[in-house]
Amino acid sequence: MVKQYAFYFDASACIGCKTCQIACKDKKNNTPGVNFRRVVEYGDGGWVPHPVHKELLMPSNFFAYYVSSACMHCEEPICVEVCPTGAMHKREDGVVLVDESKCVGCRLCEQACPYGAPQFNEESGVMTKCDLCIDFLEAGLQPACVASCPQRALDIGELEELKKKYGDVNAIEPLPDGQYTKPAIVITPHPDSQKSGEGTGKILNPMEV
Amino acid sequence: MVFNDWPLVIFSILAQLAVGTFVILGVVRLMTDSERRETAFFRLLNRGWIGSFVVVSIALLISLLHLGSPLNAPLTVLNLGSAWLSREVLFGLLFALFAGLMALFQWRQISTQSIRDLLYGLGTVSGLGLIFSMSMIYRYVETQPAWNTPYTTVMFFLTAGVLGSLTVIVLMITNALFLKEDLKEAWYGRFLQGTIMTSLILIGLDVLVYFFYVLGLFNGIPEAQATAQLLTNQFSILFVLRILFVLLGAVLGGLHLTRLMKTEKAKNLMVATIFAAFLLVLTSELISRFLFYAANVRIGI
Repeated sequence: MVKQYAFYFDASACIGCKTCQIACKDKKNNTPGVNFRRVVEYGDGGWVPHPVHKELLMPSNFFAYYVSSACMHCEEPICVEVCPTGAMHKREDGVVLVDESKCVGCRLCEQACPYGAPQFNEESGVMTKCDLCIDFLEAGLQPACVASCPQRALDIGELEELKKKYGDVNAIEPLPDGQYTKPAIVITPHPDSQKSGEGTGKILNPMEV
Repeated sequence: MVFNDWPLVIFSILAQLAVGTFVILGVVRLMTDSERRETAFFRLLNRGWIGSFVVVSIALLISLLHLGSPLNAPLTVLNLGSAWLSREVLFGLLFALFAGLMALFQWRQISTQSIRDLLYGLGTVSGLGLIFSMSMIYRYVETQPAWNTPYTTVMFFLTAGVLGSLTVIVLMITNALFLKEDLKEAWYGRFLQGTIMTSLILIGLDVLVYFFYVLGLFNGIPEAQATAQLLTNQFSILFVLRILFVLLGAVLGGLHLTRLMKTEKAKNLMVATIFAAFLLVLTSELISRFLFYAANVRIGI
């Protein structure tokens, strides 16, 4: 029995192709605007005057990397804590699910989650979210996003085992510091990754995520 | 940006107004001896209880408009163990119940005074519980710096006090004018003065606390600073109006302490100024609550 399922994400391998995002959307048949997995581009850099020829500009401190993020199936899920009906719940294997028949659509979980994981479906009037493709897991398959990644940048497993294998980084910019919800995620940072809360850059594709 | 939270703005302000009115009317009632509880003025004042019940009922109905699946609303009391929203719903329903009974008993003069004292006590506890749990919903969300502060609780209680006291003042003045009684001479003149003084002090605190709240955001973590900058840049006009309206309301309300109470001719002016004061302060509180929901930058993505 798995104690806590978790995603693994390798930021040093991700090329931002968004195949995971589309595979997820396809599997879940989500409407436009609802994306359980999203690929965020984060970067910084600007132009500074050349030290000698002041009239010339030269590039400075340019960097960019991608973060593919879905629900973190947190160990302390704030969405579950604030949910008034108990629709949002955490299973024994750590998967955080929303029972759509109990959801009242107050959207407080959406306001609280720092990962933007619970998303409101305008048609059904309830919250929806990543369920880790538990139907696939039970059939011995990988979640759609993990299976689709051409870079093998995503993986799924037991949190403690993933930590042993890949280390214990659970946050890089633009993700929030892990202290808020204890996300069940293991990340291999990109060489240019900035520490959560100490970032200088910004999300470069805000319209997409 | 689409703003989805209008029902919450209206619900929270109306619910706080209802609780404030209920509590302050009760203080006036407890300070009035039993003979005077039979006077025409006091019986007219009892309409305030009905108003409190009607307003909180409307507020609760409006809160349903915020829900994506309102039919599941009965389930919202299921997570009392961890969700402040469940506790808010429970306290809200209890307050509406006690406010309704109190209104009925006062209006129809049913039951003894001590049973009504008990109802008032229960209503006050559930009303204050409603405001406290309402504020805790937002304070609990530690990923929202604009909400996750003790100021949220203080501001919600001050809104209740300010709007409640002004509602009672409006009731007292319109009742006195309706009865053609001289406010300065009437036995309830000191109650009116006391309530006006209370409202002025509460408005002063309201502005002061709001100032420190925004100052705290400016000195907070980056997301808090971004929130404060939204207030002073994108929402600057509303931000200024919020302060301006409540101060104007205080000036108009304060006039009743000195000038207007002494003139008998100025009755129309009295009604106009006290209603203007009430509407200005109500608008200011509505703007403040709109900004609370609209101008916030959450931690994370």
